[in-house]
Amino acid sequence: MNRYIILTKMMLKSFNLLDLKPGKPGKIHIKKLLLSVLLLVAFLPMMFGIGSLAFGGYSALSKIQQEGLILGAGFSMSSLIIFFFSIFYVMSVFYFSKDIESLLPLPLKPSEILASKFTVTLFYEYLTELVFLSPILIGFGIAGKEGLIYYLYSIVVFLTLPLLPLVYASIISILMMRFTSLAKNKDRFRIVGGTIAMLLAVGLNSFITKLGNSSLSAYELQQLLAQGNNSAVGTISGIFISNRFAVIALLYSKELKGFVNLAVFVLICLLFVMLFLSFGERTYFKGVVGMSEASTKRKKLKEAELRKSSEQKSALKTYTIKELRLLFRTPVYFMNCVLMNFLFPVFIILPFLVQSNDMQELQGLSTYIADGRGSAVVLAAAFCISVFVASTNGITASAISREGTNIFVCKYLPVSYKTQIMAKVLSGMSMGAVGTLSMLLAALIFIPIPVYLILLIVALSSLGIVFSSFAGIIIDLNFPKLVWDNEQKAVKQNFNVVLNMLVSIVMAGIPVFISIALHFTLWVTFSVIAVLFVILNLLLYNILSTVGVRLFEKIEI
Amino acid sequence: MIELINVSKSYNGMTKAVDDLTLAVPEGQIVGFLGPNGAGKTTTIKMIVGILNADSGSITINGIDIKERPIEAKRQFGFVPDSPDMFLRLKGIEYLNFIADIYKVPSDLRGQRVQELSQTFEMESALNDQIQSYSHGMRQKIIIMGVLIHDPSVWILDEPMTGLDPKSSFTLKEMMRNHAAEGKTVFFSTHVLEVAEKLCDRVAIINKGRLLFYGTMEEMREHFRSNGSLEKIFLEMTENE
Repeated sequence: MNRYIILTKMMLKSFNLLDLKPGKPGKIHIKKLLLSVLLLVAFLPMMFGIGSLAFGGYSALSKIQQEGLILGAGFSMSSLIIFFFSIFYVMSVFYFSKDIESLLPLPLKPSEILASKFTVTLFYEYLTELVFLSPILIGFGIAGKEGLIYYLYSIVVFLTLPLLPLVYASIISILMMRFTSLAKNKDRFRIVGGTIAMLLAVGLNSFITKLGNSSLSAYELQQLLAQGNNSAVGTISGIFISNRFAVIALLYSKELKGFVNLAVFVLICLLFVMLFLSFGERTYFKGVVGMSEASTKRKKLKEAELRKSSEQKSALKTYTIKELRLLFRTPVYFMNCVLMNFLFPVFIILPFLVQSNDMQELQGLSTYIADGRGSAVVLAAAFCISVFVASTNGITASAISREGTNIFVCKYLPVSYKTQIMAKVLSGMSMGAVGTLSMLLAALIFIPIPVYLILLIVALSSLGIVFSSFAGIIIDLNFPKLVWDNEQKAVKQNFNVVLNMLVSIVMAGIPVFISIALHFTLWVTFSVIAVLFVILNLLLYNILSTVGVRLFEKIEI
Repeated sequence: MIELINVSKSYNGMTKAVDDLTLAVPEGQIVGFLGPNGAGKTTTIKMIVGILNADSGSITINGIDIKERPIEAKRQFGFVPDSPDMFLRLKGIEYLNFIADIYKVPSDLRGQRVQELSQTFEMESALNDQIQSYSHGMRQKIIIMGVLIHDPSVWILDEPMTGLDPKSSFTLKEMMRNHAAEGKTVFFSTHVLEVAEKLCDRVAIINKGRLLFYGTMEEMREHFRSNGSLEKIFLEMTENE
């Protein structure tokens, strides 16, 4: 137990999300402090939205005495989101973290290392919960005029709820790594394993949704709702089996029943953690020992291969290829920055496959496109989506951060900073283009879009991708996160990526909103957005070549 | 030719890592850079190659100022950093080609050099594997090969012998001698005093950011009126600080 606490403390020291004090003790960067305030402000509307949804839902559902559904739905959603994020976190904290090599020689039990790493991941999940779950708890509490005990119970639920999804994600990951550790080319297998885990999460999610929809007929549901007395809470099921008790605990916080259910909830969660630890005690090391082994062929290059590979390329081209190679070959980067570009179409197609009656709506959509105003809306929406997709890959918004402490290499190479920046931008833009194109292809399967509209969409999207890539690297040049002990921290736990998403969505959303609100025609929509983003891109390019280069120059480690 | 004039660098505006350092590394010589841990060796080297900016003073390589014309200055030298753990997910051959592209080495020339160098360093069968599969010494070798592939006139090496096997270490020392004999410049830092004693035409000794001594071995013995080894002189010099 003692060793667990020491270990956890040590690991939490590197839990520095914003990197406020990079290596310089006692000195907090004003710029970074401002950034964190800005991010908080950016999240507030969303949290407020969720909170007021819970608040409003309460008054509606309490009329039929089913307000418990709000908590039930909120807990299920939070659990799912946590489960989804956990797959990423667990993979990187349990396996890809650099501290593994220094921990393995120490006389520690697998479960001790695992428990510490589990705790670290738990802290990340609390941050996620803060955004999604806390507004629901508070909104519900205010609407129900709940007392002190409700809020005390809420805190317990808040602290305990992520345990179950985290245990699930951990077990899936440990099993996956147990088997991929047998493989020869570990990096490639890990990439495959990560992809499978992600697809599993997506698939499981839609499966549960479908299950939830079909297990009760509409009539049964009506009957159940009519009973009142929060009877519908009983239908909360799915894989997060303990959530039901948490709902009841909060609903009856004033009674003994509430306390008993809370105790049951906490006990179930702790039981799962115990099960997980004893499972990990036997399995964890089998996957993690030898993590750093890399496959080798030790085969001589043939002369023809050598000649082919030694073709001279420009600095920009060779640098861009280097960036892309690292993105594709580093498992964490692949999962976060590359895979998402291909997964978006899956996210879109999957719901259609699950719910087949949506096909008729699609037919309606194509006639809508054929009429002039419809095509303007489609163009604007497609533009917005492509900017969003490009910004979520986070390639340029983490391009400097990903260099880590090896940033010094960029400094002694005889390549101008501008060229290096542009190579990083190009790698981000090409993946953004892949994302948009695969979305477009997926859309074309279901909706016949006329050729001229496709061309317009491609033209506008290109401008949007350029914008998002430029904005991303400008942000990362300002706040590079260079000190990290696992690659995940450079991409997923990097607020630059989130900030770039916010900036991109807002900047793309405003003109799109205006053109839809003012009923612009297709060509007016196209011209307005095109002109605006050409100007914006020129402006950002200018900033990059002057301020950006200076910022790059100044980065020292 | 590397020239440092009154170069200073402090961290956090407080601790002076390098203090008013003036040093000229002439052509045709091997100059060793010695000093205890934390003396400012790596900081100095990082300033020469453009990783760190000096607070004051000027640094030129072959007469080109690193601050004013950085790209040209960087073309003059090849640099081996103290840790070779970089580009781990590139294959050896990809790394060499990356460097060759950056330094604009023409295709035919680089093919020939890759073959020669991989034979010399016995890396032929490793080139097609990712650098992360290499041992420390092999990583060191691939970085050194990356320097040699663009054949710079100035070599700057930070602890280049660390991790090399005896044969590769010998080869590298031979190469350094040949390079200096061709009238070019070699500047390297080391902790291994025997290497410095046998290999260097001159040694520069630094402690707490200040240059304690710069000259040939004979000059040093004369200066300190000692017949002792470099080790003895070094220990006395750095302890009396």
